[in-house]
Amino acid sequence: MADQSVKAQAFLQRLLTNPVLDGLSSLQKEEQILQFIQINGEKLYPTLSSQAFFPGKPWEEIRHILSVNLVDLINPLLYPELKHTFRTLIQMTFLDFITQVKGATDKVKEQLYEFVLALMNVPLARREYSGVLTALNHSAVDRYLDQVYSRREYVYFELTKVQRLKMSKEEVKQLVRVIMLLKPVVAQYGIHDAVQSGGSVLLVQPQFVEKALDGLQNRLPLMPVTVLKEALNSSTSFWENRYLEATGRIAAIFCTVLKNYRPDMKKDRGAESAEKSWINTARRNARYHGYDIKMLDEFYKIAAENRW
Amino acid sequence: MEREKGSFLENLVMIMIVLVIIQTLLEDMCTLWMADWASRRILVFTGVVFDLFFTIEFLLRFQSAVVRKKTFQYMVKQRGWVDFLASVPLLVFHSGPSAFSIMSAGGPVFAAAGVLNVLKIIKAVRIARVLRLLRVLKIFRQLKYADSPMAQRHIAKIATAMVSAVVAVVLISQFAGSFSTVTGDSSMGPYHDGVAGLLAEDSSKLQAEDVAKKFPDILVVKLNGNTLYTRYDNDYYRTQFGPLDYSYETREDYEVFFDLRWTNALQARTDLVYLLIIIGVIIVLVVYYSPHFALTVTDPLHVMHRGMTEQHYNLEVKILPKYADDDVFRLAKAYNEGFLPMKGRMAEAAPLENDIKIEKIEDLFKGL
Repeated sequence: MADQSVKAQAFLQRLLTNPVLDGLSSLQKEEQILQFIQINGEKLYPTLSSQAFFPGKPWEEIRHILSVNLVDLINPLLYPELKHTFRTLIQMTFLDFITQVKGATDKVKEQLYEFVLALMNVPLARREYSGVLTALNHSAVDRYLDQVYSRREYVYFELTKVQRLKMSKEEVKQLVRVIMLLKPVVAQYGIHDAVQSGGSVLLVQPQFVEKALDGLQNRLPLMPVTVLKEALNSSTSFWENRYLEATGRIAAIFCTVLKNYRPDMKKDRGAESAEKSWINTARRNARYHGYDIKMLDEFYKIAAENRW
Repeated sequence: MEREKGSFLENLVMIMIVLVIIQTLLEDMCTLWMADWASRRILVFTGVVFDLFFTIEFLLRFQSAVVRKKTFQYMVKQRGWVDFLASVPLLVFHSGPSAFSIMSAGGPVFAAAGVLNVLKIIKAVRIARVLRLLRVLKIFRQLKYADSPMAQRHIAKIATAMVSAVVAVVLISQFAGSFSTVTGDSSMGPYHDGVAGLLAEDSSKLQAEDVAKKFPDILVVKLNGNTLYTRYDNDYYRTQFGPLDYSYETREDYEVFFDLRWTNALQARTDLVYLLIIIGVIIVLVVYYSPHFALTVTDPLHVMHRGMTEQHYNLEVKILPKYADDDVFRLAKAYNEGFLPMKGRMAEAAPLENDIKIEKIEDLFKGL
């Protein structure tokens, strides 16, 4: 067993040194390697099933061994990244506007961190976190919400008048970030029943939210129910529930739209800017992903005006 | 090492192309401004050096193409014929004979007048020098907007066609004029003949001076070897005149030397105009048309190609409203509105492509 791990990790280490992966976050690297293994299975299998590696094992088993070992290799890189994200980007002062119990923010944050760490062990959730962490670390929420508050158009109206958030812009940003971190939770609660057809899109039926809420409350007892509900709702389609909280709708958009962000990305001549392109593509896929198209329209305008 | 050597030679050729264009412009400008002979002589000899360099370069490329059995490809597809026309004929028919005539004429101003008529044919070949400009197109590869091979090929094709057409027309018309010179009947011939006849009517020194004053291009009038009239002193002739700057007519016992610098200046002006027209055309093509071609054709195609071949490349094509009805942009619209959203949905369901590209899978396992 240990021998298997050594062989698998040696092979995976070689993939990890591929220059294409330079500059990517640890989860983006992991995603790339998993895809590579999935796509090149037929070519890899003859060598990986030879005496030198995993003799006689079927491909699915080999793939499982590789996946497990990849997680072992990535986790030491991921945890410091996650810690850094929590330290620098996650604040909980918004809780003061939601709950009567004041001053427990550090404990809630700690509980949330532990919960996210646990969710990282769920493969589907782990994959979702790639987009979430990328969006968080590239300040998507801050950049767009700053613009939303200065424009005071649809999104602002939805946040302040419809959802009636009585908190400052900074607190709204905090809330959206926390919802983004909680959004992949649907991968843990009976997701097999809840995932809509169409592959890996984590979109659940509205009735699933009620079922999952209890379980989530038990895991995060200090987090206000409204936040948990918003997080679960962010995985439902706006096309099926027009009363979805604006924060959840924003979180849903940023969790996936910016997941292709690359640090070394440069705009080709003749191409639109990256975020403008991605948001426009998301507009066209709005129904498929359950996005609020009016929000995307506004974000598209923001991206275009700021050349993002 | 080979690559470095090749790159060094390419850079050297580029530098020489720029220098030869400067030399060509200077040579014509010096003729136009009637600069002193010493300066013009230096330019003639540097012209030989350049022509020799480009002839050797062409022969080396040609030989390499023959060895690689790619003669046709080099001569036709890689525009070897431009390299040929802009080197060998210039050395053989223009700069080489000019230099030879200067060297054989030596110091005295009035000599070898017979050779000069032959050199007039050679002047017609000078226009082929502008073909070298086509090679400058290679330099523009480094420019923004001109870095697409397709854009480069199109610009090169258009430039080659235009410049070749201009050169061909000028060459044919100049050749037609020059051939009449060989028969001894140049455009200036009847005029020079008439002036010489006027002098022959009266052999007095006074008559010679009168006639010479009326015709400012008369330099010297000699009767039986004795100078009847000279416009300048010998020092002036030595410093200002070269073998191509005068012509010579005889009538009975008279010898008349005519100043050709005016005619040469007119010719140089025409050559300069041709050269500047072609430089202008190439600059317009490269600086104005090339970006337009890139923005409306190659750039959108490049973006679409990347989007179709790279999994994580999801940038939309920027559609220029002014050209939205162009075929390319209609295709780009379909790409933006149809392909990219579909690609996004499919990639989430089952990725078909991956950023990690390994040429040989076996290489992954080496040493493991």
